Amino acid sequence: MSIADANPDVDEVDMTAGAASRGPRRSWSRTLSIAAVVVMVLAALAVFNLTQGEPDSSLSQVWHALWRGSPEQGVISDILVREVRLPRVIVALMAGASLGLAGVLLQDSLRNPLADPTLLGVAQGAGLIVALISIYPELVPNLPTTVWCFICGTAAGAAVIALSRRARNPVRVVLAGAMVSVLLATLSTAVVLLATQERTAGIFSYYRFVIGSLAAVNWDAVGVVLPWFVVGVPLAFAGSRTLNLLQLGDEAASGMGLRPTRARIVLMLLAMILVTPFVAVIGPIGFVALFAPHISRGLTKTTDARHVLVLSALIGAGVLLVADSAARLLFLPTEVPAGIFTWIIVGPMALVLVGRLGKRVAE
Amino acid sequence: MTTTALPADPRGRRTWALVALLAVGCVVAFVVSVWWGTGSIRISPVKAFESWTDPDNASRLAQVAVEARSARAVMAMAVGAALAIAGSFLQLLYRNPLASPEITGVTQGSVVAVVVYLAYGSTSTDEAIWFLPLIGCAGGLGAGLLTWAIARLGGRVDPLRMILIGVLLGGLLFSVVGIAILTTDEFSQDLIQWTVGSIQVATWDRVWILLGALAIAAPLVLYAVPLANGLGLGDDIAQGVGLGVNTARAIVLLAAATVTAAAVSLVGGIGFVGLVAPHLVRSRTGSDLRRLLPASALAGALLVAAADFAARNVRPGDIADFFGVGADVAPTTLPTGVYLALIGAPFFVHMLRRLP
Repeated sequence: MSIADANPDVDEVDMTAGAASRGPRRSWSRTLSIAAVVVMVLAALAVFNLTQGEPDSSLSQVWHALWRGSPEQGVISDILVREVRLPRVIVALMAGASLGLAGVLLQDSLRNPLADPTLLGVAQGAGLIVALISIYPELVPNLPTTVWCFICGTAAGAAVIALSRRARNPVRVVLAGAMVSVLLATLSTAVVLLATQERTAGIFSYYRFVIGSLAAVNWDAVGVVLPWFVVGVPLAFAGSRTLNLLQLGDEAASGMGLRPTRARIVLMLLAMILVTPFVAVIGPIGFVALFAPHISRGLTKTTDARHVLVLSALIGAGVLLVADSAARLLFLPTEVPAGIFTWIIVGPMALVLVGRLGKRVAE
Repeated sequence: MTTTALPADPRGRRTWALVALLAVGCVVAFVVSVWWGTGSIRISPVKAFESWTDPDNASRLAQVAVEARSARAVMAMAVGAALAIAGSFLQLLYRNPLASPEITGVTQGSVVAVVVYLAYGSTSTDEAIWFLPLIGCAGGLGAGLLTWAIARLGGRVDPLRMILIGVLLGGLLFSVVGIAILTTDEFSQDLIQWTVGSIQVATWDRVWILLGALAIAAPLVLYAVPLANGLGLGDDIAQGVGLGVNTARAIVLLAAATVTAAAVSLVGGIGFVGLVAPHLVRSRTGSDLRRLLPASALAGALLVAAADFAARNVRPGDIADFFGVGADVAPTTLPTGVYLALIGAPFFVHMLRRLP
């Protein structure tokens, strides 16, 4: 069965969601077994990632590095595994999972199969403030970059949604998001061009952000994103009931005692809590949030948000880990930014997927 | 907005009045561009005219200034007209008022090609003048072809997929620019300027290259006009009147891509013109391309000329001085693309709000 076939469009959502809530047990066994497989693949990928690099470490070296109380003096593999590869794997997994969850939150709450932080202009909104922070730090009130990215990314996303009238028409959202992204990117570029000679370093740090890379990730970065992640993930799962209600349509949802608009705003903010801190740390990562929920719906054969959220998080994590492994390892000893690889790996897959969806959502 | 265009439309006279008005506007814009051009000297139209008709008596400075400024003005207008034509085609082709040349991937492909070349390939300074535009054109048309091939996967060209490819290439573009800037040995602002589009580099040689490319594309554009009009009626009617829908679509797309590539390969990734210009005139001309095309081309020319006027004369450093932070801002002007985005964005918001 193709992905598109297993992917009921908006009109069919009511039936499927109802069916899923009537017969949850059978469905859970399917979801959980798929999830178990994905977790195993993820674990294997993570271990592989810890061993590979310049120089490669053996499995036993990795094992020792992980369980030794403190890194042994002079043992390179200890330092590499503990200080370089492990935080990077952890951030890749967390970022991918967050993107997967945020994709489900946005798509289900807006009832728009094309909702995605990249397409909503969130990344470029964050990019503008990062440009300002990099080049004119004294003009920006002193808050952590993650907080600024949250504020500006959310503002850009909200603007696109508001402009396209609550995102009902998927094509219009994509076009509005594309043009808002172009505008924000142009403004960021204008900021860059205004930099004086002494501020050239800021230009480089802005473009290091723009390319989307996990190369600079260390334990500090883990510390920066962890609070957001810890808050966001449980809340996302707590929102799954609301998501299921919103899938039924606004009237049905308000009949069940939900305030659709308020719920939508809360869910969107939640998606931003999940996505924007990672944008701040590793830069814009495209299409993972668009792609993971659709694959997840195809695999679970349901649109029940509880199921979709679980798998989408795992698939997002897997995709980003693969992209980052490719970025880190394919061209050793140099490194290609992961951002390029997510565009190259996920982009075409998302295109095929969306092309199938497109027949349904196109005006 | 309706896309049905009947041949016997009472809008004809209003259109030609509008076209005449816009043409006068373009002439005025040209004169103003020469008058208040780059640099501080003012050259009145009389003096400019003298430097043409009587080159022996005119001062060398004035001659040089007039030549450079007129090249820049013509370049701005030609680019604007080309992008507006592409936008008019695409909005009809997709029956979507928000379509623009950017969604075909041509703009981004061209910019990526040029940026990569500037960062890594450009070794000699005395290469042929047409070499960079050629690379830009090849990159743009290549990306456009790729977009079309992928969008066609399902059998018929799917606008949504094209839009997503445009977005995808846009993201890729930004990554590539970032990598180029971080890894190139000779960092220069030119690379960054190219991503938003800059008309600073206009010389008459380059203007002739652009005009030549547009002249070559002209028959294709003219051939595509009736096809696009037919497609605008809807696939069923188009098929009914004997139009091969897929072929027609490919030809219209090729026409739009060619003029876009020609413009973008000379000035960089200028946006918003193709989106906004057709909307400025459509309420008067209707959607029939025979009337829309000339009017929107002139509107696009005027739009870019206006943006370029701002680009030449607004010094962000002076504005920053006003707020007392002048020392922190580079004493340069911003490229034209920035002002086009600033002019285009409010129009775009207005347009979105007016859609049903």
